[in-house]
Amino acid sequence: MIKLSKINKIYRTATVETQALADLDLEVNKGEFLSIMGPSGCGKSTLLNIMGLLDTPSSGTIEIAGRDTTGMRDKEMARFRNETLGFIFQSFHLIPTLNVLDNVTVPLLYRKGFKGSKNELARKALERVGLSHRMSHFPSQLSGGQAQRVAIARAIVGNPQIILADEPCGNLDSKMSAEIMAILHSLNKEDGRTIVMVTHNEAQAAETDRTVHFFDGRRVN
Amino acid sequence: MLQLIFKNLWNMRGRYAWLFLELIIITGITWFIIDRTVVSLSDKYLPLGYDSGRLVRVAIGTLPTDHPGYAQTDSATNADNAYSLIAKLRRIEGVEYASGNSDYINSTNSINTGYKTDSPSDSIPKSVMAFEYVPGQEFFETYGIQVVDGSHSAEELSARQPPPGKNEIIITESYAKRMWHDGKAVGRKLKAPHSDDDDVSTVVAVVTDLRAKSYYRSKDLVFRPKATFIKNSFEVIVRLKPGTDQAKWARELRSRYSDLRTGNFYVMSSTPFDNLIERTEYFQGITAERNANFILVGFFLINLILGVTGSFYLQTRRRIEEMGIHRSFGARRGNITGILIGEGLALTTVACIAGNLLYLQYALKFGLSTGYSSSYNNTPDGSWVSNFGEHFAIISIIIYILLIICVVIGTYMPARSISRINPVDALRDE
Repeated sequence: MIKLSKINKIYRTATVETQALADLDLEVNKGEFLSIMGPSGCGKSTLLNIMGLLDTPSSGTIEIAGRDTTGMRDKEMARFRNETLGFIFQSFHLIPTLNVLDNVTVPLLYRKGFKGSKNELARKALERVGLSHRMSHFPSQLSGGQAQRVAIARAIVGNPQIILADEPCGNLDSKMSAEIMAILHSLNKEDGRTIVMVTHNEAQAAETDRTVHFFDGRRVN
Repeated sequence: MLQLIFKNLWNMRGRYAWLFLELIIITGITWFIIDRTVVSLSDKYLPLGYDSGRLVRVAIGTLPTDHPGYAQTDSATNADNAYSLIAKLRRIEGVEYASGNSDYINSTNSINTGYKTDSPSDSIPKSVMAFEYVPGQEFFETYGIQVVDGSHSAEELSARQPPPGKNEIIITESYAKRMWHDGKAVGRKLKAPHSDDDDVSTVVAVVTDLRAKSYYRSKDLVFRPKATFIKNSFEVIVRLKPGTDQAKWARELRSRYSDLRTGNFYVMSSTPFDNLIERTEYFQGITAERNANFILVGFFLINLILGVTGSFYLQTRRRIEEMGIHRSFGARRGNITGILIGEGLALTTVACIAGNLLYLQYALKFGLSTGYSSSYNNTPDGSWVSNFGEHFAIISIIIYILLIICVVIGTYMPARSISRINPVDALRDE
């Protein structure tokens, strides 16, 4: 489903050059729940951003759902992101000026040829994460767990094949983390979605199909 | 997308409130500055109603009595000499007509008067400017003034001598319509204000509209015949044949000044009529007022662009993270620019409507700009300036366009740069 070949990512400033990822090869199978672990600064999030086409590698190729994304133009990349990928961020990244329902409909605003009811789909996604009673609330009125569930609803509303989650439980207590993990597992098992999750939590990683460990920008297993 | 724009504006109403108020105030200030400038500019380019581009003013003077060439003459010889000088001018190559008079249209002299109809119910005279011409001096054909009622040709009208003891006047189409709604004025009587019943003038012709002064909008003018123009100095307005260069002809005439001297009369100067209009406007302070308006508008626009652009620029820069979220979920660069500019346009549109409605309250009480300050510019003249509704709509649209340009500049630059930020970098912006 996702194939990364010889991925390098180098951050350059006037005086310093930092290699965030070095010669990385990774394959994620369709329907797999993969977790990525490693110490802070080892390049996990960079990898996830590159996988999600939010960032570009310095070199290497990325193939997602059978398409080589190298050289994709902005328009193509935006459409591909919209239709194929769903993101869940550690700090939720909800739009504070939009209510829960409107936040969830964001991906549908950019769906080409979308004809159905955006609100109806958003309502269904919110029901799926158990938050249909908070649709008119604003992000500032939600707890961390609720905000992350909204973020999950937003990630799945457009029915993407792949979900990329960057420490989705990083800002949550254990009870809320368990709820979020349960939702992610249900998306993987019931819907067959491919999930790649970055985590620091060994227990959460252990629940996934496979764990990849990173150190200093390199894969160590 | 539109829904998102309006939702954003509504949900950010607290943040945008001061910007909204600023735009309303700016709309009001822009009204004060733009209205007078647009009216003055519009007046400048209104047609004069005569062929100024083909006219040259030739100023005639009399030799001083101590001049060696001065000859003692009686008034009849003086008149012969004046007519002879005009005839010499008519014979010069390139001249179509020449008309002698003591004054010329658009000079700094003014005869302000008013007339009422002979209807007993008409008790208020309607103001008008009067211009006196001398019959037999090719007056109407020289200026290119056409007769619109078909009663005379321009030549017949110029040559027409009023019957003894009768007052005759010629009026413009605009004044005819102002006096009688049907505009049919020929043969009808007009009375001078405060005059006895015998002091009436018969309208003998209606001519095409023209403006007595280049800086007046009004086209209300009456022409009255007078007996003579010959004094110590007088004017000859020369109409050139089509294709003759006005400035060149006036310049070349200087070499013939000595040939043109007739009796005690000599040519003092020859000036293209267009230059004369410019000079008159300059000495009347119109040019200075117009330039001051332009400078004020320029200064204001620079401040407007900096102020509005700056405000929108700062507002837009605060939206980087939010736009990063949109990009992460499939927004193209164009979508980001569209959202940010769309919000600016929507906010400006609403603020501009509110500002215009507030200014409307002021305008209903104190009126809109009438351009150069004169009672003649306050009379209804059929132009958009004197039509309150049209005037208000036109200036409102101009102001709206100006504000939109400022807002688009102010939002496009940051919107474009935000849309080009890598989504992951945009998401890191706090």
